[in-house]
Amino acid sequence: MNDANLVFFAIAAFTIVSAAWVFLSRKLMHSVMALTVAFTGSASVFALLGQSEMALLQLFVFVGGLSTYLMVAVAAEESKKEIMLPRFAAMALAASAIFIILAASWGAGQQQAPSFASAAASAFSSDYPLLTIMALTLFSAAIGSILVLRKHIRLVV
Amino acid sequence: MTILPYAIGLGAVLFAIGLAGVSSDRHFIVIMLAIELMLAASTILIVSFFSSSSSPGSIGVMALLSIWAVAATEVITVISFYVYIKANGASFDVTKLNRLKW
Repeated sequence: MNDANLVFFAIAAFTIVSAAWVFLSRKLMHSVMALTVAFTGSASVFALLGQSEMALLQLFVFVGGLSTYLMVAVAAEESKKEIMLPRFAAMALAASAIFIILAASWGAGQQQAPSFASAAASAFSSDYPLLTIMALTLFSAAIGSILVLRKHIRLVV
Repeated sequence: MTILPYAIGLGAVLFAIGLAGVSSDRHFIVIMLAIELMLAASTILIVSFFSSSSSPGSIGVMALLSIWAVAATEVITVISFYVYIKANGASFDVTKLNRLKW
């Protein structure tokens, strides 16, 4: 077993445990934090597969989504004193962030993977209908949310 | 030996954990978190197959972009449902959400 496999197994164990903690935890805040670690682990796997651009995009997209969940979790928490992370969890988050940066720079040299950039360029030049459907999906979700919430939105000027 | 088979196995395990979370928990937001986990597992599988292909074309990128769009849409839906449930004083227990219209 070489070093790449060892690193992968460490990331996989970290990811699986945090994924299970998402619904084993009794606190919503801890579930959201565990999901953050699981997403960081999945982005690390992308980096180890030689897809550094996809790893970064995965982090950006899901960090954006998770920040929303984080806001919901903070709002839903009954006791505001218990929403802070334990120190070891905060250290685990920081360690996983360092880990993904190291894995990205190391994994890029390990494999000759197909380029994400060239595939994305051909996708954006030829697959207009699918991209339009994606944009319409997001737009309709935003409009639907506004319609659902129209009675509850208060504009304060 | 490459890590590709292990990455596919990891994607499958994460998907199974997400499925278990969806079917076992009753809290609305935890169920949505488990669905996000299943979407992340799908992205791992897509990137694994994309990396294994010698001439992947654009289909892998399009599948990945589709999953990211679905994940973003889910977040929008969750935040609106959260506000709606809170405003109507309903429970987050999905077994008690038995009305489609308030």
